[in-house]
Formats: sequence, C-alpha cells, structure tokens
Amino acid sequence: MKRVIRDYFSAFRIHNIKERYGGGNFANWIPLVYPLVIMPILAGERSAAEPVTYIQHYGVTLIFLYSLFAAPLHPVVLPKLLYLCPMNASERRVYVRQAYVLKIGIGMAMSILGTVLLVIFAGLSITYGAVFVLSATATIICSANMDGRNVQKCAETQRSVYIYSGKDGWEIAALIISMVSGYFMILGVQWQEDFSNMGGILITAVLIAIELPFVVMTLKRSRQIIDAAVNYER
Amino acid sequence: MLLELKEVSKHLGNFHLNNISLELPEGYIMGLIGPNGAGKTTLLHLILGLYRPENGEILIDGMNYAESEREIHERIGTVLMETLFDEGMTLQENGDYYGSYYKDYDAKVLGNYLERFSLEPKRKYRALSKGEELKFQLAFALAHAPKLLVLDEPAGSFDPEFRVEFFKVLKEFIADGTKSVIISTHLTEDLDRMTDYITYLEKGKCLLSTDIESLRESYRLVTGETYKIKLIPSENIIHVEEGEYGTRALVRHRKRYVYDKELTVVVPTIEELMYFMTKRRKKAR
Repeated sequence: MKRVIRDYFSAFRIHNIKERYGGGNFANWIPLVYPLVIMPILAGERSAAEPVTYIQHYGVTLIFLYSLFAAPLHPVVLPKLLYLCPMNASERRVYVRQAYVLKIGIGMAMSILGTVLLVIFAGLSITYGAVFVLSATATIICSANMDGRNVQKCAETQRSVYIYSGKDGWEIAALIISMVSGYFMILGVQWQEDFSNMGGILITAVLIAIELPFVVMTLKRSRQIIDAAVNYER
Repeated sequence: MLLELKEVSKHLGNFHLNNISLELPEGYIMGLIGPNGAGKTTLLHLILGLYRPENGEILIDGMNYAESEREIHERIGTVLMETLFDEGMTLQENGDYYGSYYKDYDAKVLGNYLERFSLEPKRKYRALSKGEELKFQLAFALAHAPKLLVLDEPAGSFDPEFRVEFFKVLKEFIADGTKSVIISTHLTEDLDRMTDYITYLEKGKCLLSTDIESLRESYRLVTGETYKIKLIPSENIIHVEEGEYGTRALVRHRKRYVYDKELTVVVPTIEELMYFMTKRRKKAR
C-alpha cells in the first residue's frame, strides 16, 4: 500500500500534468469547463448581493473539481517496468486494485466533503446532496475506467490498443448523464431551488432511476478494467 | 539450458511469429538478428513474459511463466529501447524504488556501474539522453544480479567508445559460465566478434538458430565469374548478386563439394549473411 500511495502522489508532477492535459488532450478539460467557466458566470449574477454564497459555491465546487482534475493523472495501467519486475499476476492485481480504490476513494471523499459543506453552508437538502454524491461517484468511476481520457479512445499509447471493446458507449452515456445531473444539482443550488415540491421529487427520482443502473454497471466494469491491467498483454 | 523456446507461435494483429525454437546454454551470448519487422522485439517480449505464446513453450532456467513468473523475473535483466523508469526521479531514486522489488538488488553495484558509465546518480532521469537512458537501464539490470540479460538493440545508441566498454561488460557478465545474454542488434560487425549463437528471424519465421561455428561451417561467400558461379548446384545457392566487376553468391556449404579454383571462397560475416538472406527474401516477392 505504501508504494500505491507514493505512486498516487508522485503523479502530481508538472511534466505528468503537461503530458495528460497538453498535447491535444482537450477532452480532459471537458468536465472542468462548467465549474471553471460557466458556474462562476451564473454564480456571479448573485455574487454582487451575496458574495459569501459565491465563495461557498465556487470553493465547494473546487473541492469536487479535484477529483475530475486528478482522474487523468492516474490511468488504470501499470508502468511497463512493473510488468518486468518480480511480481506475479496476483501481486499485480492487488497493486492495481489498491491504486484503483485509492483513486476512486480520494475522489469520492472530496465530493462527499464538498456536498457536506454545501448542505451545511448553502442550505442544500440532504436528498439533493445524496443525488449529487451519486452523480459525482458515477463521474469519478467512469472517468477512472476511461483512464481519465474522457470521451476519447482509451488507449495506452505504447501499445495503442483499445482496452474496452464494445462498451465504451455505455460509459460515455453514464459519464454524460452523471455530469449533467451533477451540474443540474449545482444549478439548482445556485438558483436556490429546494426542489421539495412534487416536481422536484419527481426530477430527483428520475435522476436516481437513470443514474443508479449506470453506477452499478460501471462498478461491474471496474473489475474488468482491473483485470485488464494485471497483465501487459490485454 | 538457460533459455529454451520450443515451437513458440504468436499472433499480434496481422503479424505472426511462427514456430520459433531456439536454445541458449549458460555462459554464452546469442545474437538475435533480422531485418526490420522480422519479429525480434516480439520474440524478446515473449521471453520477457510481456506476451504469452499461443502455442509452444518458453523455459527460462527450467521454469515457465505460468508457474514461476516471480522467480523468472528475478533472473532477468532488461534493456529496452523505451523509457522505462520514472522521469521525475533521480537515477538513485529510480534504482532504490524499482530495486526494492528484487531480492538481490545491490545499490552499491548500481553506484559502481553508474560511475563506470559516467552517470551522475543525482541526475533526473528525464535529463538523460537516449544513450544515457540505456546505460542506466544496463546498470540497473546488472545491479540485481540476473542470470539472463535481454537486450533490445541497445548498441546502436551508444557512442563508439562506450560500445567497446559495453561489449566488455557483457564478456565480464558471462565470464563465470552461469549467465547468458540475448541481444537483438543491427550492428552485425560486433556480433562476429562477440556472439556464440545466432538466431536469424525473417517475417516471423526462424530461418536459422545455431552456434557461430556451425554457421561458419554451413555457408560460404563465393566470388568470381558469373558463369562459374552458375555451375554451383542451384539448390545450394541462397542468392546471387551480379556486379560490374564480378558476381557474389551466398551458398550452403557442402563439405564434399569442390569449388572451381578460380572462385574466391570465404566464410561470410554475419553482416554478409544477413544481407544475402534479406536480398533473397526481396527477390522471392
């Protein structure tokens, strides 16, 4: 586990960030556009009268933003040298699984922290917050499964092979739905809608009904993703 | 045998490595040669356990990957043409981190080789040139006391001065008779001096895998008048090259065959062997 933690934090190096976010990897910026660009504009409409609200919303979203930013830096694949080091397949599986759980776990912890802060400081309803966390979970897991290369071919560049054949469309759909519903929640909070009326309950129920199966499917996919990373040849 | 491949086959996309068999005893160096796209790197990846064969068997020190993957990786040192180490760490840090996976890793040995190869341990890996990266890979490979060194075309990136040192290191490595080297290279003039075994691949097939002495007994380079060369039985001729001042031909040598006295008959170098084998392939198209 020490190696896994060490490797997790060592990914935050400038040259690694440049490699993942530069070089035409524009799709990695997509999940960051709304929180970085759109939301401040929308929040800004209210910030003149309620600057604390603006700081709360933006600050909380930045916490959630961490998981989106960090996802491309931690692909679900071992460096080639680790396939050459003295480890057998079961040891590599333990490593990959721990790295995967750490990546997802930190992202989820950040989004739960952000949601709790929204509930405490911005009056977000707990039900709303639960849907928000579900959306965030789906976004984080989808992003992790796609090696952080959102809406792109998932390819380990050295081998240029598709890791996920035939099911990328489902994950992309899950990613889009989770992002839309997540931002819908943020929008609702910004507009100070509490969605406690029937319309709000219905919308919430529909979102949960759509999101939950995708989350379950994505979690099942996770095992396939981890298995694919255990051996160099997929 | 330290390394044995028995009728190993592998499909990779449109490429097919077909029925490869070779043996490398302890204490020897094998040169793996062939034109570009012959399958040398694929074969080395199979030996390293990165790919698994669809047919056949790979034994390293009597063990196979299915049962003894960890033990095999302990015994193999690798130099590949890729950036393998963490670019954000220094050479020392890379050695310490990846060396911790190996039972027999010795940081002092790494330090000695770094000094011998004029590499600064505190230098960041990403600051190295290609040649220096390969030197570090070699130093690290030697530092964990492997039994088999697997080298994928390293010598081409070394300057002439270090190339001499490189082959000296390989000779020292096998000196005790218990370790071996398999090296893929295009620098065939070095192979003539260094290698004990040669495996020649072409389009995924192993055209020959034998010791150097047998190779020297099996082929001859014949030079002379075209009409005299054409008198050599055609089944013995690998390829004929007609030039302005004479004709050369690579032939399979038969001990009882008597060559015309006016023909010049020499043992071909590995480079000449590769050249004529490749020419024959192109002509067959």
